[in-house]
Amino acid sequence: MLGENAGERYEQLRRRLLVYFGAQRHPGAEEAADETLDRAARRLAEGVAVTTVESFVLGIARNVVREGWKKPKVVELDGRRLAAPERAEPQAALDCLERCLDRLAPASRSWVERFYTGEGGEKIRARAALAAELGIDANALRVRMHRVRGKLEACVRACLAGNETDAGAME
Amino acid sequence: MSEIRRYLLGQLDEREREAVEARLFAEAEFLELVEAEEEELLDQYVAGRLTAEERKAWESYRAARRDLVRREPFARALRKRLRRGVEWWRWAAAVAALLVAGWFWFQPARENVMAVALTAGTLRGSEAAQVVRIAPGVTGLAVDFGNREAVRWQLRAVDGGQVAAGELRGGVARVPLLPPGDYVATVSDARGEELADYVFRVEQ
Repeated sequence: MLGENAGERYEQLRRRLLVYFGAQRHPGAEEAADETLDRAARRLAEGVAVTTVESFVLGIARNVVREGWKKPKVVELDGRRLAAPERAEPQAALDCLERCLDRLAPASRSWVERFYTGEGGEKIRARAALAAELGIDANALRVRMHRVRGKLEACVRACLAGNETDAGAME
Repeated sequence: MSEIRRYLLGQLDEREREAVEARLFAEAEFLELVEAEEEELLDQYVAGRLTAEERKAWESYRAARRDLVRREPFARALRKRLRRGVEWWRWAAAVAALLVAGWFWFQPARENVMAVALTAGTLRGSEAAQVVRIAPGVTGLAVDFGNREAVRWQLRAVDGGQVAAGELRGGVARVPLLPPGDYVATVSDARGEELADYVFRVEQ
């Protein structure tokens, strides 16, 4: 369905769908995204011709919204509710964040500290100075910081789950 | 407000929304920009920095996106960690400022006084008026009027009123730093009799 880099393309499509269903205020964006991808995979397996997979998937997502598709209700076994995901202890998250910040390259750590520090005008000035220092525009800086944050967040998640190997894979 | 932010907050009309969606599915970098804006909104939400209208709009987006709700603890931790950094930095800056202020407070005043000797009687408006060139870093003048009977001095700007006045010590006046311009100094004796005028120009 997706050719080379199929895993990465699939993941990107899912992220696009999450934004799309969120913007549509569609209840259960994750389930709606999975439903859309299932339908797209079925149609492509049937041999339907498409210009690009991405625009084809967007068309299916629009249909899902138009239909008012809703996720099937979860059947509770023996009357037991599914356990809610545990909330991470704030101190544990802070400890993991500290460890993950230590694992970032010094430059990346400095960018994080400068990009996310301050409020209002102070923040805007700090970001403009950082972009100028790196010789990139504001959008390129945002994308770069989004990627660093993604790594940091994945590291903290792995650390909280007790998976030190994944937590160590930062650079 | 950026178009992406308005898209996420549900503030675009249908045509604008479809245009954003087309880009969202066509451009990889645009997807990352949208996600970066999501993080910005997420951070502002956990920091309580959204307006009431934005907060309501974000909460309706967030209600559809449980994956974003799961990311809130990280956003809170990041904010808390970096605020701690800022607080530490602000405390350090405040302590450093106090130390520097204290150091200056206990230092004897450093003055850089320039000695000037003036000659009485130069005609006002004359091309030959004496010129006092103030060197960089000078903080005041020690003016020698060369008149041993004089005990007081007063200084006027040629085009204005009195600038300063004071007593002479050993025939020398301590005059504050003067801005560039033409001045007339007058010295007088103990009875208040004017003894002489001194016309001079200050340049930097």
